[in-house]
Amino acid sequence: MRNTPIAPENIRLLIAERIHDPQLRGNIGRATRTSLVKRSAVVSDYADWEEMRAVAHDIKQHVLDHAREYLESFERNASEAGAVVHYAADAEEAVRLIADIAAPHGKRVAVKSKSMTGEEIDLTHALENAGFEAIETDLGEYIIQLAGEPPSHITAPALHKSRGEIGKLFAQKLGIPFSDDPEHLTKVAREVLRRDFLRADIGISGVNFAIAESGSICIVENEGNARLSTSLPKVHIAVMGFEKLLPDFESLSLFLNMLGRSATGQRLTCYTSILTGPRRRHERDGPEQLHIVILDNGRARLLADAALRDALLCIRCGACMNVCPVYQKIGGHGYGSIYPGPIGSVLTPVYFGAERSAGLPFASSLCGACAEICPVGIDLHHLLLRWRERISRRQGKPVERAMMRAFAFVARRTWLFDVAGRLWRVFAPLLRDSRGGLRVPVWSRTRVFPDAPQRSFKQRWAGLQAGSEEE
Amino acid sequence: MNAREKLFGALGRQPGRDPDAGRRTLGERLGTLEYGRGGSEVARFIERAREAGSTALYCASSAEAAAHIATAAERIATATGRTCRCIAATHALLKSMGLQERLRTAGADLGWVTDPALASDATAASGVETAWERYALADIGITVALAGLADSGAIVISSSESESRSVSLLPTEHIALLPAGRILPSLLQAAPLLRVLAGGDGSSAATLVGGPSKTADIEKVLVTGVHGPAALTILVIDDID
Amino acid sequence: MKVSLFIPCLTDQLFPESGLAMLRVLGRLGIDVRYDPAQTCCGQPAFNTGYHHEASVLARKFLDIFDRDGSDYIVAPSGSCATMVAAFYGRELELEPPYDAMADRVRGRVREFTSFLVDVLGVTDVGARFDGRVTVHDSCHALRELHIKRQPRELLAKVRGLELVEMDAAEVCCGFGGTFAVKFESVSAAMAEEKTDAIIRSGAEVVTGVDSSCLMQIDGMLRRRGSRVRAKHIAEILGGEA
Repeated sequence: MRNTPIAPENIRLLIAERIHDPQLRGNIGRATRTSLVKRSAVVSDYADWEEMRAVAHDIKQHVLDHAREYLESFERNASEAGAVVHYAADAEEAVRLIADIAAPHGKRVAVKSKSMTGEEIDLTHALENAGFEAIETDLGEYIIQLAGEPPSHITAPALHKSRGEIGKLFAQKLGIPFSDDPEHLTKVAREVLRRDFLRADIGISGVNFAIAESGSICIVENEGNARLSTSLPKVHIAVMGFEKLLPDFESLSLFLNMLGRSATGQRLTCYTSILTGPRRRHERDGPEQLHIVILDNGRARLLADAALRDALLCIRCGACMNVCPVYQKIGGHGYGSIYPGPIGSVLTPVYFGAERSAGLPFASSLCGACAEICPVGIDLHHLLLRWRERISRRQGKPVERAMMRAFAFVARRTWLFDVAGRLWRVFAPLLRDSRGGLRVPVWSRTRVFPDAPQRSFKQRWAGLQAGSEEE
Repeated sequence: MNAREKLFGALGRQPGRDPDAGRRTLGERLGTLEYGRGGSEVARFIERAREAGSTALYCASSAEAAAHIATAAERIATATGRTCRCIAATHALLKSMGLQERLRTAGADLGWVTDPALASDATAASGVETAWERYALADIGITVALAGLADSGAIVISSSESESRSVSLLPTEHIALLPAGRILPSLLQAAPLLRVLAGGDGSSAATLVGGPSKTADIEKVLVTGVHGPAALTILVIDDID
Repeated sequence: MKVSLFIPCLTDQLFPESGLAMLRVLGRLGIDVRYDPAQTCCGQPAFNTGYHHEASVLARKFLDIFDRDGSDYIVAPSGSCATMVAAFYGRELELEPPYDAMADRVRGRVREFTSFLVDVLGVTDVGARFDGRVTVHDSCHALRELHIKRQPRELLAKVRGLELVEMDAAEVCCGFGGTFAVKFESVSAAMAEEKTDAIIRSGAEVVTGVDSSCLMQIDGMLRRRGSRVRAKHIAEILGGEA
């Protein structure tokens, strides 16, 4: 199911599989609630968090407005520092490029730190198909690699799994005695992956922020696997979209103060690596080669799309999905995409095609909690509305369109609207059920539908005017 | 048309040619935000470092710091029943505080980052470990921080000819010495330092270290010591620099 | 001051009592109220589902009725419908001239009922009486688009006999979301379950809010669960005479 975008009918299947699974609901509910509580605790460090959001929003818009200038500057500075900058128009070109860069080196063992851009181009599978051993080293990614599953959250890939499920997985795949103690399981992963770090020829990472003024790439993490992946192997390959660009280190300071807080409730993550070129001559260790692959895959087109371009502001913190009441019920796999939740419902149709993921923008009550929590102030719920307009216009189902047309036809003509209302009130009693409500399609499966009133407001008003009514 | 030309062509169609004015205005707004305006007191730094899971101690002198390191080595020797293995950055401060002597008395081995046996291209002869394996088997890596950030309790370190990336990454524990005068209020004040580090005479890897390695990937249960050091100790020293 | 009533289609057809209660309260305050029975629907259901053409047909009808009706304020017992007109007409819902200009004129005059009372009239005591323990559900549009949070609570605090309690997660969506309620009914129902869990935990006898759509969803789930807690539009609570 990895990276397979879904059609509208399929999303209902995905939801149905999950919504009645109490274990899954419990896992996701607990994990998202914990994230939100921790976030609140450190956001309260700042009385001016809203102003921080506004400045962060404006910095990102500024970079997008001058994307060409900043990308040129980044490329120049990164190259001067000894990095090789490559460009890939789409996913296929990117994986081919990366395989070609990696191929000449050693036994073709690659250690990977977590990268959503890497997931987007399905890099791990592509490398495995090209004959590489591609090892996920982030604990959550390592777990889902063992399980053969896609990630279910953009910062916590194994959020949907309980400790018991992970314990069973380790016992099965690693041949160790069963334990569900998180501490023990983590130590096991540390030992296993340590050997891989030391023997890998290639390290692959994503990029959280790319600093134009110096050509540096910035990677944040808590475990240390990104530092190891980008320090020990001889070759480091970093994948990024141009929307990761920031102008300077001052901007970086703001974004680093917001990213950890929004994602995991930390003031700063344990490690923030600022990497500028491969190892310098006088340094003791570090990669001999640094390759930076800049991926388009629809980003330039998105930039030119005024209605949706704000999605490029995203810094991949995951707060929107933590707070989303829909995500909390179905988890990341319920969206059928590696980008789940509110931002995923906007980006998945962009990067994977609206034809195949048309259901996603509709799987939302448009509550706006995502827009409220987004550290860079993306009006996600409005972006979803814009997608709905586009999808309904191009792919709207004939029955639904006919119903909307009929509703507009009737509601535009007051007399017809009032007549329809009267007819409804005449026939509604036929639908009465035993619960004091009406039996109507779909709704009545789970909720009571209210009984129709005797008269409409309009009729009561007319009565009041005529003096034939008490107020 | 190759991918680069295609992308630049597409980006080139956007309006706006000179980003500097906009960038200046944004920089001014940044400067008014609360996060960049806290204090740089040692007490604030230590409190925030502890909240992030680090051990943070104030040392009136480098001698006191050396004593703390020796105590840590003794603790490890007792717990493991063998000699504690330490590797230190070849830093003037560490050389001058008699670290080698203190650790020998505490029954610990001390190697320096610049030792030939720790050069990353040192090949393994039979029965002898490679440099990386030596690092990985070390109990304590000792470095000197370039700066501390009071609002988060994080330190800034960088790779150099005297400090490898590995010394703060592979050993089981990391001990960092931080001269008190190098504590800054926040990352905003550290931006000029990061800029210099990224420059031609700087470093390929500047790292902000905010605490010991950890994860909450399993049921959001916090576990310390994943791939990086399981413990971070910051010794804030008052009598130097 | 002249006030025009904006009675949403849902209120007109399913919950007329809340509209009448609003009328009663405004009457008590001596407000000159008129109501144009030509109005039908603001177009929100079509707009939310992405059918902008159909929504703009109804938006034009709305603007034709309300733009030059001589009222100072257009008051609705609904946060979502007030949002549709005040926040979306002419913006997210594009309108051709002259309707774009009409939308701009109407925007500043449209008010949700509790916001009209507290923010425009400066009134929090409307002379109401309601015996019972009441909790407030914060409807999403009202909360996030119109910043309505404080106003219902200030009004309820002055209702004689009413004990106000807060539920946890008052700001979490009830799951109605327009057509979402039927298109994704299992998720919608799950959200309603969690909302009603919180209401029951609060110990309230009545849950109130500013939107009949939310209250319909919440009441429908409370009844389905056999709970004795009932949902009541805030206008009906404020309409109870002291």
